[in-house]
Amino acid sequence: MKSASPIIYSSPELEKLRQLVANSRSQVAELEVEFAKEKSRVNAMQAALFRRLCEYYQKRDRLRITLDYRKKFLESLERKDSAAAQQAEQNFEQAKAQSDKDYEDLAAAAEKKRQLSAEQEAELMRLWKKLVKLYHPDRFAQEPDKLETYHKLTAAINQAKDNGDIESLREIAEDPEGFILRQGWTILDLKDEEELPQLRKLYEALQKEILTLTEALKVLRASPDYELCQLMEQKPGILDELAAERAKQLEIENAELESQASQLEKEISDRKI
Amino acid sequence: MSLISQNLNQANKSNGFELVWKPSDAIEKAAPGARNVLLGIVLDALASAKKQSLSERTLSVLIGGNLDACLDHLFLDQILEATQKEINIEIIHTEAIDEIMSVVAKRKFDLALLYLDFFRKDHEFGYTQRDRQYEFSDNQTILRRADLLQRENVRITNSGFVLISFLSKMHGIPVVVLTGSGYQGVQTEAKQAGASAFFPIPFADSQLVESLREIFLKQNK
Repeated sequence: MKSASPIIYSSPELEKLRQLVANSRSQVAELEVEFAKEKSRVNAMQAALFRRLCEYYQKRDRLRITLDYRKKFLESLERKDSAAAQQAEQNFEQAKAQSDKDYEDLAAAAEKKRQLSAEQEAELMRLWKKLVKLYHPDRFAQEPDKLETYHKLTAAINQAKDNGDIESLREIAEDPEGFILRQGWTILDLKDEEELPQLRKLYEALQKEILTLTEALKVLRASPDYELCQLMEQKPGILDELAAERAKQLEIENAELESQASQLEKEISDRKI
Repeated sequence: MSLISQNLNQANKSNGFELVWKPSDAIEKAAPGARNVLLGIVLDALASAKKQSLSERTLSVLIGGNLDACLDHLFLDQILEATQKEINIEIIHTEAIDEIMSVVAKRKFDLALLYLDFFRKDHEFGYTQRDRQYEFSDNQTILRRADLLQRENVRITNSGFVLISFLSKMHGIPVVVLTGSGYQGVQTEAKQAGASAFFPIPFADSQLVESLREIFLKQNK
């Protein structure tokens, strides 16, 4: 007697969609890593340039603010407009404080910037291949408590990404359910959808993500920062050369600004007398 | 960021899962003033880098025909005016067709300025209008004709449309033709042969400069 073997029905469309989703996730992961890699190069270049030149630029900007203030103050003295003089002084203090803060913020940001190593790039690729599997747009839209957890999870990923915190990304990617448990959040079923309409939706969302990433890469590669990065790659050592040249030019510019500022200071004190 | 990107980002945000790295950088999140400071530093460095690479760049120009070599410095001035940049210019001046053929095979030129008086020689070759149009689209024929010119020791001045198509179509060199020829149809035929610009003598310097500027713009020089 023949034994009856079970017949498993598999929808060809479902299979095809699963494959498409898998391919799209892999593409998103590759684009994420490509973007991270390029951005990291640009950031490292910006930081290196800033560290070498900030002292000269900050001095120049302070001098420009001072010059602007002294010109306006002198004009108000000439017009005998004490309100305008007071306003000029107030604006000067504000502009100086803002400029100092800008440089402080940039110095803090530049301090953290490091270029990704080959090992880090490989690690990121591995992590992103896992992380994109957590991508479930609108999956929990009808379950508010789960949606909240989902938002918290994605926020944690973005936070880790923002800080370049590969450790946390690793923790989430290796065991997202465990991570959710450890945070005390509502448990989520993060397995892939099995229904056609959900898979279609997921596939469309992934396609949009691919477009967004492609566009972001295009914007980055069209930026002056990227152009400078490319030049530096073509000519190693050019960063030092350029920084030295800019420093020299800025020293000349700053000396000229200092002389103009002293001249104005003298005119102001003469007028006060 | 483009409109499409903004819309897609918005769509992503509504999903609550924005995987993209782009807004994550501390510098990008910094105040606009700080970002402008950084952009200014980058732009200044980029301008210096470009200036440096320009001064290292050399523009190679081939001047051919029985033009007095004393005129080279005038062409040099006009080329410099047209580039509007600091750039090194190297000029190779020759009256020999074999020298042209040998030199373009070995190195790249950015421009060829030729003094030609071609129609007389073309008649001697017995070309008809149809032959000429045909040969301009066929590299092998161009090369055969150019070889023939070389073997017969034809002077550049008399080498006609063949030299134009040899330089422009086979070697991708923009060709500017200067001519004393008064022949009516010659300009159209020179353009068909691949000439980028055509100047019957006399012409104004400004016309030549304008034309060179257009050529360099196309080449991004």
